[in-house]
Amino acid sequence: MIELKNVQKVYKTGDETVTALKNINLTIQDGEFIAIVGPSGSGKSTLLHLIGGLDKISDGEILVDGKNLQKLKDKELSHYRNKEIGFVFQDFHLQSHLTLLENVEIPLMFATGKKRKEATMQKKAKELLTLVDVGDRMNHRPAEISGGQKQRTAIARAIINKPHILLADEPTGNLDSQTGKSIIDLLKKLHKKENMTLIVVTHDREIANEAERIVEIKDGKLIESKRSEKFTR
Amino acid sequence: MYYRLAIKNLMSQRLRTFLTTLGLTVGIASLVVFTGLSAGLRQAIYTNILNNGSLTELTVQGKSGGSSLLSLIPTSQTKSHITPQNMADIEKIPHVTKVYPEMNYGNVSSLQISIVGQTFQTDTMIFGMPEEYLADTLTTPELQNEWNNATQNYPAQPYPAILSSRIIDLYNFTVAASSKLPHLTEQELTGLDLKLLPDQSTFFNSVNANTNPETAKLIGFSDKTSLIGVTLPIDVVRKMNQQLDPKYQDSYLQLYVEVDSADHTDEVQQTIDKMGLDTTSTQQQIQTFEQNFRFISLGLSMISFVILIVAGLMIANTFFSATSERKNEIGIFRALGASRTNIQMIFLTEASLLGILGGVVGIIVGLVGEFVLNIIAQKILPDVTNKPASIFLDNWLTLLGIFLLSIFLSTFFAFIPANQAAHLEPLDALNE
Ligand SMILES: Nc1ncnc2c1ncn2[C@@H]1O[C@H](COP(=O)(O)OP(=O)(O)O)[C@@H](O)[C@H]1O
Ligand SMILES: [Mg+2]
Repeated sequence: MIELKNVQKVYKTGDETVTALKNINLTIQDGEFIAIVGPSGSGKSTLLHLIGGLDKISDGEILVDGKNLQKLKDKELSHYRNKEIGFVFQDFHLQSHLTLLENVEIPLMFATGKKRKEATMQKKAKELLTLVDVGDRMNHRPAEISGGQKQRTAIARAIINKPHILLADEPTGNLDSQTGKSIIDLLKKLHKKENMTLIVVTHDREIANEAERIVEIKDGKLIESKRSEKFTR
Repeated sequence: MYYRLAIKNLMSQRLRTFLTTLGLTVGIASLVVFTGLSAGLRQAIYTNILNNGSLTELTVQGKSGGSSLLSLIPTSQTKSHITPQNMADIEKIPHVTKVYPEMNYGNVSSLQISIVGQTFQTDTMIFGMPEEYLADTLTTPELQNEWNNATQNYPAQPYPAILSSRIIDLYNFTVAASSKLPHLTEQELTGLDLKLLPDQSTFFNSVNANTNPETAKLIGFSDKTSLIGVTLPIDVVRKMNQQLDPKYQDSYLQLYVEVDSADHTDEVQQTIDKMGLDTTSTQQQIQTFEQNFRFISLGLSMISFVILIVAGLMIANTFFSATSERKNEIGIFRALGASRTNIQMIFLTEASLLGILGGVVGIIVGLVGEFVLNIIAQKILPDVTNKPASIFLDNWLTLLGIFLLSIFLSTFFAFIPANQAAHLEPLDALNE
């Protein structure tokens, strides 16, 4: 369960202060699929980064399964990102000099605890690449594949450590609508199969309507948290 | 995986990797060459010193330098020779096992030899030493046998004689080179007849007297006899001195003292010094040499270290710019769960790989460089006695140390940039 209590995020750049999030209260149950919508600059990405432990809140608290993210040390927070969170970005963020297979293996490198053998790591990464339908391109580099395939690879990378929470920040933003649809289908499939909490930031109403719940943000404030049309209907 | 990642990164930046490693390679190669040269020179000099005497030997001379050329001339007043009493006293010192006296003929002489169809005459000194001592200094058992046979004939002439092996080097590189005479070898000269003309000199006319010539036969060459003269059995020289002036017959130029173990050389040397005599020892020579040599090797190493520091700064610079160029990569890695330590490790692994690369290539380049330099050196350097096969001496432990130094240096200089990279905020890095 993810609990946001009076979360505030203020950015300071020089003399300027930008309040990106104001007084956010939100509870997300395990296994939920949530869409976050809102205009550009409203604070959607910021919210996702805070939940994912990539950024620190200015006020309030975020509890994930009872853990207060603010109180975690760098090692613990890194472990949290590595094991409990999967990130999918709008512009994929694949390493251009590594093959798809190597890209997918990266999170395994940072997994603490018992050391895995390279062969085991490779086997796991191959399975996932096959699962997301790029198994036949795994020794290619990102420059040699399509945008959709890049995002599929990024998704495989996000889930290799079997996270509880999958965070996707406009995962279809750089893709045509048909490809975008297939990516959302893949995310939904994984969400169901692994019972992961799925939080997708999107501009696209149609995509948002696939979610179980839609959270709308405007100017850093949560203005609506409702069941999606599909479910209210 | 860290290493695979590091190799991929270095491979994707081949030119930069090459340039960064180049500095390190040059530094390591020069360090290999300089340490090899230091060790090689040291070895060569040791071989030379030890050829002239072992660590259990010391030489005793009269006060104010009995061995200088001027002091050998009877007109000079600086001479203070050693008496048989001195010798007897030294023999009684604990740990002294043997004392060999060296006597010189009290006047200059001339030496006539016929080689390559010509007769040469030169001024010389005549030295005398105990037969058994001289036999030991000859290089082969055959020569030693011949020496022992020849000494049986005494007092019949020709007397057995020994020359310093260095005299051939001296002849070959001065006389022969300047007057286009053929080079000579020990073998060619062994068995040569020597005509000794006591009290004859081309330089000091005042000493010329009509003394009967003596004949000698050159049995062989030795590292331990005086460079400036012919060495005969001591009894021959004693007899010649008796005829010249009885005051010389019981006065020694120097004594060779043998000590039972190298641990006692210092002690014996101090005792003799207290008797008012001058001493020199191989041990002391080596100590002085070691002190001087430390400066030479230090100087050479300093050059390498300067190159290595520059190479290290290049590495630091590379990693500093990598930190800002690779912000995005760092951000993604952080998002995927890399801790600060993980980021640091990624950078340091790359640095250590550069160190390994620079170390291996540098050592290979250094060894190849030594090989080439040695070929050149062997062509340039004269063919002297005891010339080493290589002027370089490599020791695998030193090479291992240099290799580790290479890894240490590159890791060390990458440490601050790696730390800086590790402390980037994940989002700042990701948003780049
Ligand atoms: N690192 C930052 N420094 C300063 N301001 C920021 C930073 N990141 C985001 N902001 C600001 O916070 C607000 C919310 O941004 P963001 O969460 O990216 O919006 P969205 O994802 O909804 O488009 C914007 O006004 C943006 O300019
Ligand atoms: Mg955004």
